Amino acid sequence: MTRRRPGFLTGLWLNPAGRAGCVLVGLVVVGGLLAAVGATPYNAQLQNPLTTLKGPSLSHPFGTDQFGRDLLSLVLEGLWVSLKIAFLAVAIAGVAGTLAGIIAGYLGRWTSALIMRVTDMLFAIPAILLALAIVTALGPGALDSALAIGVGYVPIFVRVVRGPVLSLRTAGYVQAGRVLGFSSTRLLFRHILPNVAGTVAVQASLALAWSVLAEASLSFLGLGPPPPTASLGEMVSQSSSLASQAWWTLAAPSVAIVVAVIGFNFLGDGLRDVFDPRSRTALAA
Amino acid sequence: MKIARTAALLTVAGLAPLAAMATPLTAGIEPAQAAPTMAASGATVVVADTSSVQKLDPDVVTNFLDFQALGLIYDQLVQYNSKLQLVPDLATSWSYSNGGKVLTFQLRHGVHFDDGSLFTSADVVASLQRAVNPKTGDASASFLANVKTIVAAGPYAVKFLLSRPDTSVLNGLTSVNLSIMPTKAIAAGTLAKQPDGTGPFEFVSWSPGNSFVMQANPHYWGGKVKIGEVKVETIPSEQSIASAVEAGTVQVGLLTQPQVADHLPKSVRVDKVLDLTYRALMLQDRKGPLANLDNRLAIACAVDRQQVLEDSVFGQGQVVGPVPLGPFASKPVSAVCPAPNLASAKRYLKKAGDPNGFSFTAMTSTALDPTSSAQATVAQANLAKVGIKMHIQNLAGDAYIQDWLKGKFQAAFAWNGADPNPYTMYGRYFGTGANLGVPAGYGSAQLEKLLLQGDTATSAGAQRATWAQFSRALTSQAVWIWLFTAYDYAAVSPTVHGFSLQPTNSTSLYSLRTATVS
Repeated sequence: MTRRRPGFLTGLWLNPAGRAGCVLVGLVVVGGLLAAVGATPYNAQLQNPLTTLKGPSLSHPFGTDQFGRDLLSLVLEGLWVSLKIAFLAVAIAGVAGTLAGIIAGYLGRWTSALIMRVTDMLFAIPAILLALAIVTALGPGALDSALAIGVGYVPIFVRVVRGPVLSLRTAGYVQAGRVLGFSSTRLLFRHILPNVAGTVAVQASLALAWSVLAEASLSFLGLGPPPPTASLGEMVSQSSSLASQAWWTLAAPSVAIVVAVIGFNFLGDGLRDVFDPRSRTALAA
Repeated sequence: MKIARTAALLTVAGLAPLAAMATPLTAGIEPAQAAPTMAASGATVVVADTSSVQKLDPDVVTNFLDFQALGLIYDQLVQYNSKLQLVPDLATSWSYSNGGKVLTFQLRHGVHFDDGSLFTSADVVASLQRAVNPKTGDASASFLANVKTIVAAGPYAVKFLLSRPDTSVLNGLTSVNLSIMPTKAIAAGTLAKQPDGTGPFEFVSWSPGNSFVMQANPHYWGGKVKIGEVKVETIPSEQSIASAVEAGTVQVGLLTQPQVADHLPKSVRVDKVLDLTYRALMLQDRKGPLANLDNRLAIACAVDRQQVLEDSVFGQGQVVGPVPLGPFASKPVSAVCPAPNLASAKRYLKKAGDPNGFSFTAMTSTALDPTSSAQATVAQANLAKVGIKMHIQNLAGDAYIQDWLKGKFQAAFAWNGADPNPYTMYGRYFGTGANLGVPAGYGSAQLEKLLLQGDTATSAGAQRATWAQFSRALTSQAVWIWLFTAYDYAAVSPTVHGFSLQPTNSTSLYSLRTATVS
C-alpha cells in the first residue's frame, strides 16, 4: 500500500539534510535580518577603547575585536552583507544561466553550439579567478562583488538547465503544444521552464553556498565592500594576526561562514531529494 | 634643491594576498654578466616581508623594501651608523671650505663595482648628475638642490660647489636614491635591469612580486662578507612570516605588527627599534572639500591619534608631530587640537560651510603597511562622529605608489621615511622646487622660507626655534595629519648572529653586511 506523497515543505523537513539545511539557513537568515532591521545587540561600528579584545562574555557573547567592537553585532552585519551579495549573485547567475540554458536546449543547432562554447570558455576559468578579475576591474563594492561572483556561476546554470530541456523538447506535451500552434516563447516559459524549476532551485541553493564563500574570499583579499561595511572575509583577514592572543576574533566570523556554507549545502541536498521523484517515492513509502 | 632622505614613502593599504597568488606579469630578470671570479660561499639568509621589491634602479625607488634590498648592493658617499651619526662610506672624509660653499670629499681607493670597473670620482660625478637630471625622476633629487656643480678633483676627490652653506646635503647623501653607480652602466642605461654597485652583495635575480636574490660580493672593499646569499621573499601575511621564521624557512622576518612579534616562541629572537619613520594621513589640497582649511582642521581635531596608535600597533610607539623624534621633535604634536576635540571639529565644519560634514576618500595599502587598515578604521569611526564620511580605498602596493607619486588621491594613509635633519625630511615635500611637491599636495612661501631658515641656522637655539615654527606652520594649516611613529620588529632565526634593525626603516637590513650565520 502506498501513502499520499508529502507536500514540498513536509518532504523537505522529513529529509535529514533538508531539515539541517532549514535550521542552519534559518539561523543565518534570521541573524542577517536582525542586522538589516538594526536589531543587533550593539551598534556594530561603535568602537570602544575600554573593551578591546575582550573574550566571550554575557555582555559580548562573541567577544570584542581590537577596536572594542561587539563581534556578535559585527558577525550579524557581516552575514546580512554576505546574504545580500550571495542572493544577488545567484539571481544574476540563475536568470542569465537558466535563460541561456533553455534557449540552448530548445533551439539546438548553432545557437546551442554558440552558447555552449561560450559556456565552455567560462568554465575553463575558475569562478573565483574570474570574480577576482572582474572585481579588480570594477572596483570593490557590494554590487560589484555580486556581479563578479554571479558571472562566474552562469555556466553552471546553463549546463544543468540545458540537459533537461533537451529531453523535454521532445516530450509529448511539448509536441502537442507545437501541434496546437503554441509559440516557442509560450512553450519555453509556460511548459518547459516549470519543469526545470526544481533543478534550478537545487542549483541555486548550492550556488548560494559557493557565493557566500566567494564573497568571503574576495573580502579576505581586500576586494570586498570597503569599511565600514562589515564583511566576514575581511574580519577573518584582520583577525588572522590576532589568532594566538584573541582566538574569538577569528573564530566568530569563521564559524558564521561555515554555518552559512554548510546550511546552504544541506538545503541543496534536501531540495534535490525532494525534487527527485524516486526520493519522493521513497519518502512516501 | 634638496630632498628628503630615504624617500620612502610607502604607505599603505592593499592587496598583498593577490601579489602572492599572481603569476608575475613580467619574466624574472637574471644577470647579463658572468658570475664573479670568486664563487660566493656561506649560508643563505632568507628575508621575508609583506611587500615586494618593486624597482631595481636605486634613483627612482620609493618603497621601503626596495631601499632595504638595494642598500645591500649599493654604497653611498656617507652613511648613518646605528646612532644616526654620519660616518664614512665611499667617502673616507669630507670638509667644508670657502665659507661653507665648497664641500670636498676624499674617496676610498681600491673599490670595484660588480662589473669589475674601478670606482673613481668620475662615477660620483656621473651618478649624482644622473640623480639631479629631471628626466631620471630621482625621488631624492631635492637633497642636492643647493649643489650648483659637482666636479672631480683628481681620481679620488670630488668637490660640491654649493649655492649657499648647506650641511643637510650630507644627510641627503646617505639615501639609497643617491647611490654611486658605475659610469659605464649609467651610459649603457642598464641599471633598471641590472643593479651594479660596490656594496657587500651583488645582484643575482629578481622575480617581480616574489623574490629578489643577491650573493656575496667577493670583491667587497669592507672585507669578506660572511653570508653567501640573501634572498628577499614576499610573504603577504605577517603571521605567515612569523610561522616561516619559526619553521626555519625564513631567517629574518620584517614585521610591523606587535601582536605578531609578541607571540613568537622564545627560540626566535625579536629585535625591535623605535623607527624614525612616521605614519600620516596625507591630505591633498588641490580640489574638493580638503582644499578648505577649516575642513582640514576639522579632520585634525576629530582624529584621535592616541586611539589610532593603540588600535593599530597596540600602543607600541608614540604619537608624533611633523618632526617625530630627536632634538627638533614637534612639541606639542599639533598646534591645533593636539588631543581630539569634537566640539572644535564641529566649529571648523560650521566655519567651512559644511556643518553636516563632507565626504572624501583615503587610500591605504596593507601590502605596504599592514597596520594601515586599522589606522583607517579608527580614523573613519572618529571622523563619523562629526559627520565626516571617509571612504577607504585599499590598493595593491604598486598601484598605491603610482597614485601617490602622481598625487592621484584625496587623502592617503602613508608611511613616510624620515631623517634626523628636518630639512632633509621635508625639503623634498615643501621646499623650493620640491620634487615630491605633487604627492605633498601643499606648498607655501612660508614653509619654503622656514625650511631655508632652519637649514642655514647656525646656532642650536635658532635651529630649534625655526623647526618649532615649521612644525606649527604645518599643523596649524593641517597640511597633513601626523599620526605616530612605531616600533619596527624583526623575527630573527637563532642561526643568524649580529643582525639588528636600524632606526631608519630604509636601512633595516644594513647589518646583514656584517652578520654571520651558524
